[in-house]
Amino acid sequence: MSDSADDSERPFVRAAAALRGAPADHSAEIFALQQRIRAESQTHALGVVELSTRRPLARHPWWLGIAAAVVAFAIGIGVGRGSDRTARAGNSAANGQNDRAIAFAFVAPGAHNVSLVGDFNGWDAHATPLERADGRTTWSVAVRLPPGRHVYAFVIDGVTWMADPQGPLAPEQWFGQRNSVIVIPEDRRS
Amino acid sequence: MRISIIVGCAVLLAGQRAHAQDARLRSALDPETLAKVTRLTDSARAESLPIEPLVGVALEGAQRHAAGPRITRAVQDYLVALRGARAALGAEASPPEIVSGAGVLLAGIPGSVLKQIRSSQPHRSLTVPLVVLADLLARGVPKDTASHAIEAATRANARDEDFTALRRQVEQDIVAGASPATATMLRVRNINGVPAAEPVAPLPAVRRP
Repeated sequence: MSDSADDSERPFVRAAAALRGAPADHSAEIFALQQRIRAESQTHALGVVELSTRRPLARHPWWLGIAAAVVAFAIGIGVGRGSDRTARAGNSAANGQNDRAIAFAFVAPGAHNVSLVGDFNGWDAHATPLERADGRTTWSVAVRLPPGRHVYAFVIDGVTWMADPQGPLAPEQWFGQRNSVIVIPEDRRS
Repeated sequence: MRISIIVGCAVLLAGQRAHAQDARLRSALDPETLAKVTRLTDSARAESLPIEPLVGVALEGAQRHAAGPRITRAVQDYLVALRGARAALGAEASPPEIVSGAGVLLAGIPGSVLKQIRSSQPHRSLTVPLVVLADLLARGVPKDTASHAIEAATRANARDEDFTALRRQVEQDIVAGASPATATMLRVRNINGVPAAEPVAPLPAVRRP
């Protein structure tokens, strides 16, 4: 679609040009983000850790407003932030000396049950159920995980699989949906 | 004598582990899929590649009620990616590095980028940087921008915590409305050691509402 387009194509060419609009000006966006970065660096200097809400769960409207699932003690990639809580029975993770106890939590007020599935429990939705941590909306469980990269997801009411809105996403989508990734620190290479 | 005992124990343990994997797969897969997946895991074992991720994919597929051919294809594709990751990261790469590298390859990053990242830090673990790279790609950061950012941070000796923070900040910026590319470019320059003026990537297009 260029100058060589014949008369029948010209209206589409003009429409496409109009939709494209004027060339983008990045300066305002970049400036706004730089301001935000500066403001955050001042906040972090005070030692404030922000646990903000995450992306909306648009495909599950009854959870809109839940805001987020939280991986407690394993925020982000979980490096070095595992708790020392005893692992729950029911997961099949190895109990090696280097295993770390990691607490997972998920906010789902409307759910009847929530379970944790991952490569550490054979993706078995019955192996690692979460319990209501605060009696109402937050579900949690602690599991022992060996060092390495683990892929996991939450299963809500036995049917809905969801990645952790707080965790890094796994790039592979073997079966149509993404999972999350947690890295348990490995022994350093020499 | 002592070496023989150690080798014997290692063989015994490996055999037990393989048997346990087989048992898990046997209970989850139909016979035809089981046979194909077992052939693939046997190939991985023979090549000293990580097997657990392949078993995990097969089990995930079974739990998600995926069809047998789809499970087989997923395991096969993963095996190819694992091979590619080890070739790019080197024979010394740890299993978590190989698995993370495979994820990056599956996200469409060429092996040459993995090689570059490895060459910038030959002796440190790249598991976290590669997980963060994959996450950035999954969140819509263009491949060039994401890979340049991770490479620049790795070259600057960024710590795992820096990569974790980068991922979190970019995610928050995206939620706040920034384009994934712009957020990544600016945030990576905030890491100590990454030159502020370094052209991490070409200026990206602004996301339109």
